[in-house]
Amino acid sequence: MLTRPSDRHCSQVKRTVKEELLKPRYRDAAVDSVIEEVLSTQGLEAQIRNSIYLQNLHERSRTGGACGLASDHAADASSAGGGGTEVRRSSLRAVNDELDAVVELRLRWGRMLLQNLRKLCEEASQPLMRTRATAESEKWRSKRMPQKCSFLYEASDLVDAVAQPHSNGSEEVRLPAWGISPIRVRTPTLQQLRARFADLALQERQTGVDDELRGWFDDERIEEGQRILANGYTPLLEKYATRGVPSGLRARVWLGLLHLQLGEREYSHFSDLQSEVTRVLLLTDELQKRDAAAPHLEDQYFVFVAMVEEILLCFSRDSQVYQLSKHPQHSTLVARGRDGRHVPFPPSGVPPFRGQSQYAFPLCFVYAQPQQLYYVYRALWMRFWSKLHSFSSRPRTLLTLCLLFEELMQDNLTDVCTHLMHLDVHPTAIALPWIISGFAAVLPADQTLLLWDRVLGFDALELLPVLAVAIFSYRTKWILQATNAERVQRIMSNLSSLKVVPLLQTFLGDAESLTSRQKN
Amino acid sequence: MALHTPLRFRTDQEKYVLLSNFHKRGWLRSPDESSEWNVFFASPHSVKLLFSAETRLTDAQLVSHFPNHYELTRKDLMVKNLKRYRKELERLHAERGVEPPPDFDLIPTTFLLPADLAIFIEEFKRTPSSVWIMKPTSKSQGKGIFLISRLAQVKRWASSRTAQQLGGKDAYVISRYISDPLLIGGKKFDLRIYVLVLNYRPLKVYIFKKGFARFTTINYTNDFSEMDNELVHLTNVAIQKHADGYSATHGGKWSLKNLRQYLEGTRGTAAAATLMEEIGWIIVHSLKACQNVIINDKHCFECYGFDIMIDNKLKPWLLEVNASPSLSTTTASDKMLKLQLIDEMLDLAVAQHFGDASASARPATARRRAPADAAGGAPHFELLYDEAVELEAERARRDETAGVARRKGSAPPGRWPNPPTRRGFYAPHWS
Repeated sequence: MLTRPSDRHCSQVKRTVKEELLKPRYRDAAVDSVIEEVLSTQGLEAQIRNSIYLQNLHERSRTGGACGLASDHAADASSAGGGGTEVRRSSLRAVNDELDAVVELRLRWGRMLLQNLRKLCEEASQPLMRTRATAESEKWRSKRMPQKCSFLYEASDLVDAVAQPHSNGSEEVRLPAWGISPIRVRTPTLQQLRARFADLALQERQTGVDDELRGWFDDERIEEGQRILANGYTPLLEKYATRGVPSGLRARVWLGLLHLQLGEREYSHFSDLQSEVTRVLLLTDELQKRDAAAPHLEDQYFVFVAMVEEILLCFSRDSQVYQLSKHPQHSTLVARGRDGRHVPFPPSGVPPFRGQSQYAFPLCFVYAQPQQLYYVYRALWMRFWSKLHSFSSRPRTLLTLCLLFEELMQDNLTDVCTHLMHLDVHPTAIALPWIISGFAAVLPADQTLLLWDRVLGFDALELLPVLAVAIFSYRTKWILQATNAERVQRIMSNLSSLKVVPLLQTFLGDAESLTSRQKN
Repeated sequence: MALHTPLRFRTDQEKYVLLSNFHKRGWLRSPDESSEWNVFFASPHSVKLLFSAETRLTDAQLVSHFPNHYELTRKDLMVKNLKRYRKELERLHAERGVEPPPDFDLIPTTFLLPADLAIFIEEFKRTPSSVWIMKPTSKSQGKGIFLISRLAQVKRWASSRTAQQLGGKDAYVISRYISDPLLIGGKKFDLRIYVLVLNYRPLKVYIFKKGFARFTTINYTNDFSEMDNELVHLTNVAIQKHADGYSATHGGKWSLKNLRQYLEGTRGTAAAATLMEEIGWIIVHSLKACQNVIINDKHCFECYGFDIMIDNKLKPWLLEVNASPSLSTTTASDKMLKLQLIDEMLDLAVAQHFGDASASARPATARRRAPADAAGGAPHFELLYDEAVELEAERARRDETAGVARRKGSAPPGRWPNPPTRRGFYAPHWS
């Protein structure tokens, strides 16, 4: 799995090799040559190389950049209180190297979550958790969750939280001046982004554009993809995905990119979660059902509602999500159990929010099997989407992505920014919800998946703000013609006809066309 | 031929999607019972009256059905025609000594009741655990359909009917129930595909790209205790719209484009393409099956609603063909779809029958046409099968080999019906 793939791989590889060595046909051969032979014939070579690759990645992330996070499980248990299942306080896993602004944001956010959870408890007059048996007993039967109960939070709450002014009153330096981003860290420039995303240059053929124009290109990509899948080496898969994955191969390529090997252990864990869903009811279940029941593109997604609902309910009960998330910077609510121990609520440690289902719906076009759907959803959350719900000054988290968006806008679409400010429309307020949903909230499934191909391939959430800016750039003419806020909202509200890849290509690939468009 | 514009239309269906399309073209309505019309968009019943009255249609008249379309659209006759067609093809292949017809089960095993009761009982005894579905031959919208799993149920049904009821319109077909349908999100669905036939001999077939899948509102189960629950088994909108979970925003309808995208993602591009092509073949074969019995009246065109189900192995099955697919609209996108369907269908039919004269009947603001398009001017239709192309090729081949063949004394090739081949078949893209 995601944490220590190497351990499991190692023992597997060792076992296979040992078993082979015991076979009589190797009796007279030298051990080291046999090992080599076994490794190459059994396809273990790619596995080992992948393990090493992963190990290196872990090392790098531990030593490089903003690091030194304190213990993961520093749930603050100091405040005491009555027994039973009850919210004590929200707690952030202690982090001591953060900017003041970030620390304050987190505290405030945690308080808000806690408040909302308490309110939810009151409105529903239900405990956080109860068994179905209890729920079906007389005591609870009459009580249904009232429709008005609100979600713990939604994308717009995150935007508000980011935009809230610093409480210590000091005159902050928000750059660019119109921006809402409360922190100032170095973000990549457009030139750096162009170099990093060189595979998206205009002259590179892309799945998502060229396959529609030229049939042979799709065939070529499929053939290439099958070759790389057979080899199985992760960096090759990543390189391949940067130019998009043909829909027929996406399921397998993504499993590889997310280092997912689903075996008996995973299947039985999932069925445990399924039985937990029947056994235990969580206070937030109704909210998650409501979230799944109203996908934004109902025409496209309605057939998957029941599937996504199950995924969400299982996810919230999955304590592995909490254990495996090494550095979750999103807030976790902590409840005190009957035995006095502090446990995250819900067990996954991820406070349910409105829009959680958006990350699952596009995947339904790739994975028909609930198990695969679940693990891919979970892996994507842990690796990418959780960062969009985390306040931190580390790269590729909500605040830095927000800042990247604002700086790219400022540097490249100055006239648009100025115009929008005049109309009293904030670009970030429009774009941040797109970014937070990984664009799943605004794009149809095929375009969302083509975008996520690149996010996975480049391992880069930066593409989200880049795409947001590219959309503003593409619609510049209309925005500049708009004379009121409603008009702008209307222009930017329907993105369902956009083609992601050409947008990214034009923005990242061609400096001249961009500047010339600005001049016009 | 030259036509006076505007055209006159007559219809016995007060449907928005029809009337707005006539209106848009500036056509004038001719009164009911009048014979002064150019285009008659008629219900099957009116068509029956029209042709039984032995009125002679003029060259400037066009009707929306073939006189005996029921050879295809009545469940029992369709089964008969398909069975005969299959036998003919098998014989043809045997005579020519070429490979036997490919997997040719277009429909699940089906018997006519009460006529085939004895054969059915034999078949049932061979597979006692199977489930069968009973359908009245000439009802639509899921009326009168039920499932049976025990022989006693059929016998009881048969004995409860008087001899008179069992004749004619009250006859039933019984088919093996497809108990392993492809499920998406746990739900069963079938496909509704619109097919336009302008001519039966030579056969020319267009399909409308915007077909859709119709989903049940509740999850599918093989559990026999749910056998009486129509909501689990029948996908008809007429039935599903009474369910609790029915939504008026999407109406349980999913576009073919979504289906294709889903199948490509979950089953692979090749499997999805094969399925889509096989669906095309089912349509062509079923039309070929009644090509010789249908009266190929040149004043007729017809739009069929093909109902197709896909099983879990991605094999498509033909369920039935509707002569007058519903023109009622349930949702906004449904309305749009049916407006386009009628619009382009009229374009194609009128252009074919009246020639270029129709162009002038359209207002100048009309949509731009793509002249190179196989379904010229109808962007949402695609040509599925054109027998004329095959006949042309066959003729050329025969001319070329005639001398050789005569010398060798072999049988002259090309006896009717020719099995359809790839030459005249255009694999549908649906997008």
